[in-house]
Formats: sequence, C-alpha cells, structure tokens
Amino acid sequence: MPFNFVTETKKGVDKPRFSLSLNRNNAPHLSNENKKNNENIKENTDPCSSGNNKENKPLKRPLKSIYSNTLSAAKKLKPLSESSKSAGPTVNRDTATLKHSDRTLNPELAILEEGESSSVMLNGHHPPDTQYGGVQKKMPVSSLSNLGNTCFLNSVLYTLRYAPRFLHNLHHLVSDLASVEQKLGSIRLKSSSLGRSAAGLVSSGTRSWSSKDLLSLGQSDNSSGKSKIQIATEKLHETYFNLRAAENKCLNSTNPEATPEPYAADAFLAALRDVNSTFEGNRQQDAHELLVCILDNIRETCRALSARAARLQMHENGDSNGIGRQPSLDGDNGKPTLGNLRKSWKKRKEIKAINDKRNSPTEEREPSPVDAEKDERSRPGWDFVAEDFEGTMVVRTMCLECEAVTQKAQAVCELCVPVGEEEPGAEPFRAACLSTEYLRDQNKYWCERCLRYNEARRSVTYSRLPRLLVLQLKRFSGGMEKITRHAPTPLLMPCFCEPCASRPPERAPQHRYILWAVIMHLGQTLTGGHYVAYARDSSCDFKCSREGSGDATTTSSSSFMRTLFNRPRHPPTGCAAKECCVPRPRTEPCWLACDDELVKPISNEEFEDLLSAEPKMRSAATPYLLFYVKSEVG
Amino acid sequence: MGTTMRKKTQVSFVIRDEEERKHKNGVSSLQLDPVQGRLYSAGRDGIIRVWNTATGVQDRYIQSMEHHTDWVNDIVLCCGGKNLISASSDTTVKVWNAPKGFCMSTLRTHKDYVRTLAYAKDKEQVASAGLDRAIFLWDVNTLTALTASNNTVTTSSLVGNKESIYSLAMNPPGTVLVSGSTEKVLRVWDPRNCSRLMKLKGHCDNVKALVVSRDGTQCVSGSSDGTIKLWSVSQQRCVSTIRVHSEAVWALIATDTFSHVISGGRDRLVIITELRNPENFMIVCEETSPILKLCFTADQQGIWVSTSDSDVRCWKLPPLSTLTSETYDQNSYNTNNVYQRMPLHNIPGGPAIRHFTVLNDKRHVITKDSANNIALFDVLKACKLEDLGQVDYEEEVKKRFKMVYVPNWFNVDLKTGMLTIHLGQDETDCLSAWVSAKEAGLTIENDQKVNFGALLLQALLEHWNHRNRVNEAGQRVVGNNYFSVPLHTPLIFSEVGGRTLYRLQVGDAGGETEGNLLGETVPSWVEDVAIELAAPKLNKLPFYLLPHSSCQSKQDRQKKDRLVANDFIQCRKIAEHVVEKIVGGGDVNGASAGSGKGSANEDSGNDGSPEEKVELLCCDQVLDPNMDLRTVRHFIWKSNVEFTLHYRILKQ
Repeated sequence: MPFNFVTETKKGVDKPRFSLSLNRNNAPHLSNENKKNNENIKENTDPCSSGNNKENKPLKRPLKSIYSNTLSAAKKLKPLSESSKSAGPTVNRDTATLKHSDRTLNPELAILEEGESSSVMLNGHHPPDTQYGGVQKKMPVSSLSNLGNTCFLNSVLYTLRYAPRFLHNLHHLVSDLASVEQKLGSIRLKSSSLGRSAAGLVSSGTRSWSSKDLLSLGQSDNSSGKSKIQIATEKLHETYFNLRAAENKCLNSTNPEATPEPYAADAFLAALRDVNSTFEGNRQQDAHELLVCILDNIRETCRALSARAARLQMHENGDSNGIGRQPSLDGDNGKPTLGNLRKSWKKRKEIKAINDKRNSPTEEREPSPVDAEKDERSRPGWDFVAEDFEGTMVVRTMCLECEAVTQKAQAVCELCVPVGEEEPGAEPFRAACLSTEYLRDQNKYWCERCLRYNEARRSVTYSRLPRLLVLQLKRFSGGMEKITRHAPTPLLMPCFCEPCASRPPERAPQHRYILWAVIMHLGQTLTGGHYVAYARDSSCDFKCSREGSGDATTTSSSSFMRTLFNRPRHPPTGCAAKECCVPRPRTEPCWLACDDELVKPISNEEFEDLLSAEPKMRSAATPYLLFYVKSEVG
Repeated sequence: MGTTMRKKTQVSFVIRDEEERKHKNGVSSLQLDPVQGRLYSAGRDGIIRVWNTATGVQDRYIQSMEHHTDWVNDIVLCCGGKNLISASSDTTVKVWNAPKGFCMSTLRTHKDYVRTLAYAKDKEQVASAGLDRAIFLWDVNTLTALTASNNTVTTSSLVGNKESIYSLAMNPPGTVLVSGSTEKVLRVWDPRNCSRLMKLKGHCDNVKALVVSRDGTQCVSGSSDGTIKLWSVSQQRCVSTIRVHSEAVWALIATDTFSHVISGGRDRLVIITELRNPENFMIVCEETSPILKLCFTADQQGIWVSTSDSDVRCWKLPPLSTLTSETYDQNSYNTNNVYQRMPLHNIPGGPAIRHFTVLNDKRHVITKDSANNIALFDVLKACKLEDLGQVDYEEEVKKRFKMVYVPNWFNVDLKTGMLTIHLGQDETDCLSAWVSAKEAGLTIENDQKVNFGALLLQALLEHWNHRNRVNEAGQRVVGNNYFSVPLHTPLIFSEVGGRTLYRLQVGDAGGETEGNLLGETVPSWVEDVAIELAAPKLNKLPFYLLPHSSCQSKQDRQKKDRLVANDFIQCRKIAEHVVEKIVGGGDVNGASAGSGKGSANEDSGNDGSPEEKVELLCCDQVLDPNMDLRTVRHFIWKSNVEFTLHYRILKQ
C-alpha cells in the first residue's frame, strides 16, 4: 500500500511539469503564427470543459453504491493512516487527537449509513428523479492525510479547494508565473546570443528549461530569484493539481470501486515551513494563522509576478523594435517605438478619459471600461487576494464639540467577531463588526481643530467587503480557555458594507453573503484539539475572462497580453484551470465534511444540524472560521 | 495610608498681555443685562468679557472677568444682573459679582467639563451639568452668600442620567428641567422634588440646545442630527420636526410667547421659524463660523450671535408678522436669500494662536495665529519677544534652527487660543534642561550652568512670601538672579490631565491668603527649587570612549572605556580627559601612527589646549569642541544606546 501511494504522488507531480515544459518549448515557435491566428479566432472555440466533462463523465451509478463506496473507503483508510503514522517519527500525541476525532465521527458514520439505506439523506433537496432514479455520477473526492498534527493545514486546504474561484485564480497566477519566467528566460537567452559574449551562447546551448537554470541565466537581472514564498505558492497549486489528478485517475479507472488514496501535502508543508518558521515542528497550529500566511504568500507572489511582468513588458517593447536592430543607428524611423506609442496612447486616453490602470503602450484598440477591468484581472500578477479577501474598513471619529469628522480607511483581511455572553440579535455579525463607541472620561480625543481633548464618537464601518468574507469567531479571547457557547451561523446573511448598511431598512441590501465553508474546532484550548472543515462543493457558473471568446487573450486583452500569451498555453482555450486543479464540478451542490483522510458528503439538513444550538449529533466542535461568498441581489 | 494617592500637580502659566481686550477664541455663551445695557460673553479663551451695548459707542469693552483656566462653556446672569454663574471645562462652576467682575466662589462638585447651565429666574435657581453625567441644582442666594468661613453649600443632584450632558433648560418658575445628552433622548425632571418625569425619544444624535416654555408644557430641542423638534411635555410626545438647517443645530432661543424659535448651528445660518407653522421661516443672517449661542437684544428686535470665531455680532430680526409663506419665497431657500447682510453691531475678536513650534534651544516658541500672524515667544521669561507679522512660518522656524539639543522641560497648550505652558510634571522632566548661562544670554561669566525649569519656577514664585525665604545671612532671597516674569502672568496649579486646583497672578503671590493657598498646593519639589533654591539633579550621560581606527596606539587599548558625564559638558572637556588620563600628560609621540590627516579645526597657536592635541569623533565626524555631549548624541549618534565617541591624537 505505501509504495503504491508514493508512486501515485510522484506521477501527479510529474504531470504538470511535463505539460508546462512542453508549452515552453513550443512557445518561441508558435508566437508568430499565433499573432495572426488569434485575430481570426473568435468565440467559436467552445470552452472545452463542458464537452470534456461529458466524455469524462463516469458511468452513471446508483447513488447508494457510491456512498457505501466512499464510506467503505474511508473505513479502509483509517487503519492505513494510523499505521502509516505510527511508522513515521512524527506520531506523538497526534494519534490521540486523531483517535478522539474518529470516535466523535464514528456515530456520524453510523447515522449516515443508516441514512444510506433509506437513500434520502443526501438528497433531501434533490429532485425526486435523481433521488430514486438510481442514477448518480461517480464522484470520487480526494482527501488529505494527516502528517502529524496537520489537521490545521488540511482543514484550510480543503476549504480553499472549494473556495469559489480561488483555485481558478491560483491556477492563473501559477501558470502566468511560469509563462513570464519562461519568457524572461528566453529573452535573456536571445539577448545573450545576439550579444557580444560567447559565454551567452554557451549557456544558451544547454537548452535546459528548468526554472532554476533560467534563473541562473537571468541572475544579472536581479531579484528574479525564485523566492521561498513563490515556491510555496507553486506547491500549493501542485497540491490541488494532485488532488484533482487522483480523482481523475479513479474516474478513468476500470475499477468502479476506485477511490483516491489520501494525499500527503508534505511538499507544500515543507515549502510553507521554509517561508514561515512558525509552522515548523509537528505542533498544533491555528488554522486562521495558516490561512493568513497562505494568503500573504499568494499576495507576495502576485507582487513578484507583477514586477517581473513589467520587466518583461519593457523587454517586449524593445523586441518589437527588432532585437537585431543596430542600436542608435537608424533611430526610431517611424517605427512604433515605446515613446511614440505612449504618446498616442496618452492622447487617446485624454479624449476618452478612460480610467485604465494599465499603462500599455502598444494598445491598438480602445478598451471599454469593462474590458479594462477584465484586462486588469487577466493581467499577470493581478492581486486577486486583495479583491477576494480584503475589505476596506473605515474608522470615523467625530469630535462632539466641533463635530468635524476625521476618517481613516484601511484594508482588512478578516473580521474578528467576539463570542459574547449575551444572545446576539438577528444579524449577529453586523452588530459585532459595525461598532460605535464614545471616547470620553479619561479617554478623550485630541481634536486637531479644537486643539484640545474633547469627547468624540468613533465608528467602524466597511466601505467595501471582500468577495470572500472570512469571519473569525473570537473564541480564545484573553486566556487560553475557549468560549464554547453557541454562536448562530446563518447560512445567508445580508451585507453590511456601507452602501448596503446605509440603505433605508425598507430597501434590500445590494448584496448578501452565502456561507460556503466552516472550519470547526474541537477541543477546549487553542493549542490543542482538532480542526474539521465543512465546505460546500458547488460548481460555480463563473466565466473566466480568458475563455469563452475563443482565445480570450486575443480579443479582450491588451496586445501586451497577446505577446505574453498568444500561444495556447493549454490548448485550445485560454483558461485551463478547470482541467488542472479546480475540482470537477458537481451536478448537485453538496456539503462535504472534510476531516483529514475522511471526506464525505453530508446533506444540508445534517450540516444545518451541526450549526444549530443543540445539534442532534452531539459534537464538541464549534465553528471557528466562517467563510461567506458575496452574491449580488437582483 | 487610607486616603487615595494624591495626583501629581502640574504647574502652568499663560504668556499673554496684561489686558486682553478681545476674545482670542470662540465665544460659547452670551448674556444680556437689559437694564445696564451690558453684554456678557463667555470665551473659550477662559475669559468672560463685558461689553457696552449702547448705540454709538466706539470702544465697547468694559472689563474682563478672569479666573477660569479653560473654556468657559456657559454663563447665566441672575439676581437682576447682580451675579453671574459660569461653567467651564476646567470642571468648575464659578459665582461672580457681575458689576465688579470678580470671582466670589468656585464650586468644584463636577468631575469633568461643565458644559451647560439652566436658570429658573423666578426661583433664582441654577442647574449645572456636564460630561460627568451629573446635574446639580444650586440656590443662587446661597451661592452668593458664601464666604471664606461659611463655604459649604448643599446641592440637589438629579440622578438617572446615563451619558454626557450637552444641554439643559428650565422654565422660569423652575417646575420643569430638561436635559439633552449623547443618549439622544431628552430627560425631563421636576426640580422641586428632583423626581424623574419622563424620557422623550426621537432625536438620532446628540442634543445640544434646549428651550422650555414658561409654563413648562412645551419644549424645543436642537440636535446634531440637524433637526429641531417641538415637544409637548404634557403629552410626552414630539409635536413636530423642523428641518430648516442643513447641519447640526447648536443654539436655540424662543420668543417669550413661544411662537417663534431662532436657531443656529454648524451651517452658520441663523434661522427664525414659526413653531406652529414651520414652513414659515427665514434666514436671518449668515455667520462666518458655526454658531454657538444666540441672545436677544433688550428690545427683542435684534439678536446677538456668537460663533466658534472670536467676533460677536448683532443682527436685526425680521418682524414676526412678515414671516409668512407669501412674503418669503420658500423655493429660494438658499444663502443668497438672507434677511440681513450687514450686522447692526460688531464686537471684533482677536486671532487665536493655532500652531506652534518649540525651537531647538527649548526656550523659544514660534507661533502662528488664525490671522496668519507669526510671533516669537520666550518661554523662560514668559513673554512675547517679537511680532513678525504675516511672514512665512516654516521659513522663520528654519531660520532659527540651531544645532543644539536641550531636553524637553515643558509642553505647549493652545486650547484657549493663548499660549499656555505646562511645566514638566515632575523634577526629572521639569528640571532636565541644564544650559550654559552664557549661551542663554543670562550672564557673561563663563562656565556657569543654569537650569531652565528651576530659573522659571524661581521667577514664577518670586513674590511668594514663604517663611523660609531667608538665606543664611538673613537676607531675603528673591527669585533668580537673572530675570523676572511679568506680574500679570496667570500661574495655574492643576491635577495632571485634570482639574484646576489654584490660579493666581504671579504678582499677587505676596498676599497672605495667596501664600497660604500656595502652601497647600505647591508640590514640595517645586518649593525646594523655588524657595530653598535647591540645586536640581544633573543628568548623567554614559558613553564609551575608544581610540579611532586610524590611530593605532602602541598599547592598543581594546578595552571599551565606559564613562559617565553630565549631559551638557562640552567635547572640549572630554578631550581634556583624553589628554590627561589616557594619553598621559601630553605624551603623544608615537601614539599617532600614520593618519596625519588635517583636522577641521587646526589652530596655529600652541598654548596646549586639549583640542590641539586630541580630536574627538562620533560616527567618523570630527566634533566641535564647543558642542555638548547630549547634542552629539542627538544629532550625530542618533541613538540612545551604546553612545560611543572616538578620539584621535593629533601631531604636535
């Protein structure tokens, strides 16, 4: 068994490397052709995902069997994981936790099995035909093995796997990174081969495409060194790729009972530890801290990519004048040079007064604002963490004497909600997040207008809330003792960002938030216990700007994007995320209970029961991190 | 020690003219004595001023009533103009002899800023309330009868209020009292038995202005939510909401018959509105700053308006009968459509100091006022040195930069619009600034060190008739030997960050009562310095002294010499130390191997001064022998740890 396990992971790792390197090799040859082709290709190319899906669709099998299948698999896995643990050096107290968690979960299993026999459990919300029709797609779900106190890691990895659009964005980040790096590498090669030094030719002759070699070539170009942070981001993507690959393997397997082996995210963990020593050793960690760290890593990677892409852009502009051009001989000659184009671009900009953040000198068509936004999003290094996870908190302070208001805005990543003593009202998080306090008595406010200490009123609001809202329930305020009291977790909540909150009560808010994941914590202290993630697996109907309109990069992106991505990186669409790391879409959205090696679908009712004040299935687990996704109303 | 720890006492003083005839800051409150034709104005500069309102008078200033040490927030004229009660952010309520303008007594029951007063004329009762949430009810006749011996007064307090009170009103018979607070509700009491009557809910922000009708059945409130509400106290409900202002309403006044209300606030407009038909309103005038208080003229044909600016103006009111929708076009409600463009009278105020910069010598302060006038002050002598006029502030500050470092020994406070100096709260802070008397321009003798804080305390308390004020030779010791401060300088003792304990003018300290009160208030460390002339402690500065890398001495002293010296000693002294102790009696030959680089201050004279034998360096910068140690640390070393100097022996 263990051998098998290892080889499988290896395969998984190899796969993306292969495809990427293939891509790189092709790139220089394809680039010219594609420039022409891309203009012709329009929306004909159907995003293959749906078509492929049909082909890949497993045999339709009765619902019951799948479930008994996963369950039996889960059961089978248990001894495996435990044995593999005890073999490793990092077992220690974690086994105890694990056993504990298993114990708590066992009753659930039993209930589920009973439910299975009546075959209503999962499909309480399903249309009757699927419920009784006995046709259900095979839906293997990959799981993560516990590497020794890594439930904090697994719970976050599971959550992010099902985070709406997160993997998609991560995929583009990583593939853009590879692409830009490769491009930069080839430029270095070119310039060195065209340049005067023979050494450049020698080094380019090696023809090695590993990113490390590219780096060593470009070392003179400073800061292009692959940082630990960047490696961690790539390993994160790789983890998700492998999870997906394992599922694919089961789908393609002739054995209908095939289920993915639990995957060990040790590569990512190692990369993470390289970045942040907090996660070293096999201690228990705060899942929230990990989430923050992962998001920081991605943000950093985005920044690095952005900087590199800008550098590449400069090279590209130089290239457009002809690399072989004799420097300073024929001057500009009316050719579109950087300077000329920038001027004309500026002119157009003045006329149209379009607010476009990009400064793309080789722009040929005027972008519409929508395009501009689209372009921004498909720009390599676009910081999607900022858009998806960051809100803007606005703190306003009003002196009660002169009533002048000073205002400070700052980005906030997650909102902390105290679990108070008193029963919260209808909108518990709104009240906790939007606060008003008076600065008075010994804590007066120094007013810059009155030039003295006066009473003041300070309010906290959010001018913008992120697309993916993370709420951290402050269960560990002060001492280590956990506040275990129940805090209601609404499945749906009205938005309380400023535009929504300031609306008169009779008008519905513009957006609302839908719960898509919960990380629960079991145990009495922050330092000990167990994490379990519950995530909603639903295929979101999100259309990537890089797909849909054929090779989207041609029509909607700047020509810079074109020069960057004018070759099909993952032919035939511009967006291959759905084929790479994003979980296979489910026909019916469903909640997944993810507890290390054990991932199983649960019904809405079961999930709601877990969140209720007095769950039927008694559990010591309390929601710790709540994940909501924004949805526009109307 | 059963009693609570006494708070630290802060010594402060104000640098100002002897007579300040103009308000230097906003004017919070106004009261008119219709019989005498005198207008009382309560200034945020801490001074209540009295003005002659008679027509045709050129100079309206009559006198100042000075005793508060912070903003005066409200005043009430009572007993037919005989007495004035004032409420201040110095947490006190004061009772004044209004015609003569002196303070009769000070009530210290409030624990926070006293924000508002209410007056029941028929009963001569005054209520005070503020940010400590308390409301006290005072019998004015008891207050005015207080003497030094008979100084206890009983007060009724109205309890139940939960938040800071910003407004208060009583009807003349004293049957109803209403309070407005950040609680956003009006609370109504019966002052006769101090019982709570009701809460009136409706406003959605602080309530800053209140008026009660004579019979106590109606009430008008003005709120920071921008609305004016007419309430029926008898029916316990809001009758109407008047929305004539675009911003917070801060001032209200009603006609005797309660037919009209005149309001002002943050939008700088004075608006008159018919209470029963709020669509009949008119903008009386537009002021230059947010309006703080309104007060009728004696004939009720005009209105005195005070703002957060220092001017007080009188405006003509429109005849009440003209206030109909027909004569006043509602659709043209804008500031172009005001009744009066020019005030009837104007009592101009002066500019308030808004910005300051303490110069490096920690003695001079440059200020800029609200009229952009720049002035230079000498804190040590408590006086203004120069009016520089409307020049460039930054430029003047830059021009006066000196590369010296002197520790902070005072703070500057501009809350009153005048320059208030708070001395350091204890010995270590206040007495930290040692300087050369010569460099401070106090003497021509060399090498004498003086302490700024000590000198100033000695000058401030120069006139205090303290029993120990005699030296060994039996001579009276007076102040410091260098200078005096102006006699009118207000000297203030207060709890740190809080209540004023005692205020007097420097020149009045000689009186017996004053002497006794000073004895009770002055902290012992101040007394030691000012009266006993105890020498303040010197500040020691540790540092390391090492040979410079370019100077490989034979013995190669690798050991770090840790030395301690007074922070004001000059580098010359350290060079002396090097010559005497380290190099050893001028034996420098051989020690200065190599180097031989010319130093910045090479003197041709060979009189054996240490700076010719040794130069000191810090961070590879050669130091001026006249620079003192703390200046080197502050400007060159730029850190508080491991302060290290190097020496380099020069060729003979």
